[in-house]
Amino acid sequence: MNPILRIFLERAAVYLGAALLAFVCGFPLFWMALTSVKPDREIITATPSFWTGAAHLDAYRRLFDQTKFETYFVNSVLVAGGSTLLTIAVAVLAAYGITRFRFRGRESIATVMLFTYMFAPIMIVIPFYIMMRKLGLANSHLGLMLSYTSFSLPFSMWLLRSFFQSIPIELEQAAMIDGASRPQAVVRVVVPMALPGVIAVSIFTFIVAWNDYLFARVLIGKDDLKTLPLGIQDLYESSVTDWGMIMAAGVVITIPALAFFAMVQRHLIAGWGAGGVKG
Amino acid sequence: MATTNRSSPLGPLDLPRPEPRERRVPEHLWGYVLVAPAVLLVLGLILYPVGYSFWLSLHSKHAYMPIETFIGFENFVWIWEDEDFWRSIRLGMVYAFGSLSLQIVVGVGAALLLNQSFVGRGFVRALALFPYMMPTIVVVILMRWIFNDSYGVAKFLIEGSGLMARAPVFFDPDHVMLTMILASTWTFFPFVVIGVLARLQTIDLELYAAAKVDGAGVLRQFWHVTLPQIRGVLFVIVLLRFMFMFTKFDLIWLFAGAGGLGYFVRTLPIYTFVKSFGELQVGFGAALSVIMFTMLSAFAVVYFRLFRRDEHA
Amino acid sequence: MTKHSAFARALRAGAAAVALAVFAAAPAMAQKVVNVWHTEPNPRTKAVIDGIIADFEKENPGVKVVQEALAWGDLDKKMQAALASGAFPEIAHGQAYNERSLSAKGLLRPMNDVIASIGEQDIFPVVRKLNYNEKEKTYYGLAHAVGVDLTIYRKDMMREAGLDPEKAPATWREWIDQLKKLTDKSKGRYGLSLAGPGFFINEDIYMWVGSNGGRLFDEKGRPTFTEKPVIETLEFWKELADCCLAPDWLSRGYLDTFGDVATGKAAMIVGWGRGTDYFEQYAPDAVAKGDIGVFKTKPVGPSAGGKPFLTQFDSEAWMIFKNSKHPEEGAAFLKFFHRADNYLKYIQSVPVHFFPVTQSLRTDPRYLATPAFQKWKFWVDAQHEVIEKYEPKPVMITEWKDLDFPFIAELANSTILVDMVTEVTRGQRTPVEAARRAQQRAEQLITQLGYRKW
Repeated sequence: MNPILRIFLERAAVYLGAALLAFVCGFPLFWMALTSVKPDREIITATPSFWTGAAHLDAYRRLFDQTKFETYFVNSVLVAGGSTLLTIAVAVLAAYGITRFRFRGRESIATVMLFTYMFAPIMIVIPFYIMMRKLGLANSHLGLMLSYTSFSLPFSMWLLRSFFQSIPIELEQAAMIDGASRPQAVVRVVVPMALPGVIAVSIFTFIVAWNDYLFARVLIGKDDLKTLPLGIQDLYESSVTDWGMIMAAGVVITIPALAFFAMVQRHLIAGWGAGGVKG
Repeated sequence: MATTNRSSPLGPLDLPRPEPRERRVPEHLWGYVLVAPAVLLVLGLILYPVGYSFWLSLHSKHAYMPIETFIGFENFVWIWEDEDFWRSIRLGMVYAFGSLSLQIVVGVGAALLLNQSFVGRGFVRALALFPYMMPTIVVVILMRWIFNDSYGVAKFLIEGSGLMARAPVFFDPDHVMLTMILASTWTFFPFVVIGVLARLQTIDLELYAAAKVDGAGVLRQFWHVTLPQIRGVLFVIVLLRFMFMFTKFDLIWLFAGAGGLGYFVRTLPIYTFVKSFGELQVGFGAALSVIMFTMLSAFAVVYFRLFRRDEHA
Repeated sequence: MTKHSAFARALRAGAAAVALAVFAAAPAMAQKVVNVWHTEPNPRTKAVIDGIIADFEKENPGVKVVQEALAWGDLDKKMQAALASGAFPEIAHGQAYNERSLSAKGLLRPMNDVIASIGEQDIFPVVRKLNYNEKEKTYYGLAHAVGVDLTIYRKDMMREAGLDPEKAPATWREWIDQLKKLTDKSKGRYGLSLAGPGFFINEDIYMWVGSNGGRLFDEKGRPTFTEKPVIETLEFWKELADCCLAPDWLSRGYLDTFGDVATGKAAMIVGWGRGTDYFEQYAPDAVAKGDIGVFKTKPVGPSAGGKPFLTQFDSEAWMIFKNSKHPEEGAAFLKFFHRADNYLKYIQSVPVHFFPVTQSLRTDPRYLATPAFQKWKFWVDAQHEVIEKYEPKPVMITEWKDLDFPFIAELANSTILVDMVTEVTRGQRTPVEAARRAQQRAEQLITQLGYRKW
């Protein structure tokens, strides 16, 4: 085959594939956004239009005026943020302990941790609720944070462990020779080098917490404590399904996440990849 | 001090700067101290509940009425004879394998594509990873909206483009499993992309150059260079994703619920939930979780064995 | 800025977040808190309740009322969690069958004082019958409002099909004939749309069995699914599914069915007065032309034998939990809530669906002046007629005595009846086979729960 033609075909295939991928992933987002600004009459119709001349933000106004969407949003940010910080703190300590100290049971701890990564929430949700109740943590954000943290920990530790293993001990030693204390050496040398791992762990935990439905449904009853998934489900099921408003809610949740994700995706791939492959 | 410190690879370096005011904690204890919070959390909030489930599975226990009787393995006998249990396993397998294979195919394909350089790659990449970030409830509502038979845009697009004279009814009993598999693929394939893409980025480009010199085409390059390199990561991804899909609860529950349409996608997690929280038979439900747990553990062990043997051969 | 201090800041932020969460979770101290769980997450209703709460708190310093609106599907789950843990709300909505089993367990505070403050004789007789415990001469609950399930239809579509838009079908046979004329599958139009989720199939099966002279349980609580009226109902359902329902009817949510009528995809549905909102939003033209109608009666099956039709009473009851922290304050709040002024506001938040439980409010000029009634008076009148004449019953209850069986919640939340219907309409089992299997599953469930009495 003519090499120029071949290169051309290859490029064409790449762009075609990229367009297809972008369409499949992007169209639902576009459709959600479009529905949220369409007038009601253009929403429920058998011949949907792909643009609207009468875009308006009524659905968003309804969302913020008539529902506790803001509360749900703040709750979700709080819970997901808190879980993420807690997970990072606990996982960094544990991963560091496992890679830098020798002690009995070290390997078995790592194995058991990895093993628990395979547990699904559905397997433990009943006893989990009873325990949280006894601890007085049902109907609290702390209870949710603890559950997300314990569910993200195994993966996070596993991932950070492989990062820490790949960081030469000599670097820490060098820093300590230069006069740093051990915690300083960890914070200044080890953590920055493991940053892709830390970012990957935070995103992983954040997603777990941000998306969870089951634990939140079982643990949280108070309206003021509901996270977004619960709030949206209840909106969806409440007396009148307001498609415009539901889609507006989807957009409001989606846009910040999309922006955040676009910012960190490079680190994410480096982080998860490195951890995933070596583990 | 030197001897105690020897247990740590970092230990000896502490020697030049001892801190006499502080009582030194033996190094191996530090290991325990650092690991303790993680271990306590996992032990208390995951392993203990799992143990409690085992205990519950030997009882007939009502979800809230004070009815609790030890009945040995009777729950398991019931389950063995329960037509609906076996059906839930079958449906679960269809869902797990169906959505897993699609995720792998689409995910690897997308990763290969995103590893090429082209204008707008960053944008497409962010877009392609995004569905994974979306809360399940939003995915479900969006899919219900798009694939709605009355005013769904999918029907309109399929029929309008002449792809099919009449679009399938996505949410009827014949198609709901397929629709759910497609929706699951859409939202979960980025997991595969992330893992594979990361690995692809570390492949030595000279391997491809060498293959090209040997006259290998795109397909052969993939088969002989790429695939061996991503095998390891695929192994892990397949294991994890299978487990996640087999135990998937929220997406299926929100998609189809318990009865009606849910009849056609009532996988083991859904069946467990209905038994525990619908029929309020927590003991029976716990027995189902124990079975789920045992099956997955067995799967993981066998899978690892096979892979190891493969690796050594 | 060094990394160290950045890290410290992150830690501080984390600590602050945790502290905030703990703070948010802690109940306000030194106040008597009355938790109210209800199943009306509609923003308008929630706002009205908030207003009533504010007035109540003004009159009762030191008491704080917290409302929690739950999607109805979550109520049972949440109630179980509360029961499992012993952490009861002061007040909650509950299905009629839950009210009985909870009071049988001694968990509910008698509400005779609340009823008295409203005026017992003022309450519609059928509501009294529903909430009155004959054996103990006690009320353990009171419906917050009632509503009746009716056949809703498009008059214009009836006319187009050459049918008299005012003539309600008297029998299933007549109904099917009507529906067939209203169905045009090539145009994607169907005579009827039914909601598919399990809860709604339970609703339809018990109403239709009841409208066919049948029952779901015998005197001792043994299921009677293999009796003729049930089998005939399944045959009827199969015929409906084949001729007059959309192929994806099982996926139609309750609200989707309203959408179907709004867009003309279906000519008829069965449903509640809540739907008026939906029609006003999505089918303003049909509403303006008066093309939305409801029938005052429902058809009966071949074995009805002169018995009237059975339709559903939406009648979740307020219950007060005896072992909650402040049951007395809870009772005080309910009395306040049911004062005519407050209750009127509540009823008017969903005016067509919330039919008042008191006869005095029904004739109150302020109630009759509800703006929505200009358009929807016929709908309210139709409900009134059913309430006076036909003894509607709550979900799963074909005979009043069924309220006393302790396993109704478990059976309703199992998928046994739903699977029976699904298997028949899909042609996977014959009505007799499906009924036999459901019978066996239900007997096993009741046995496993320890409630077998036959």
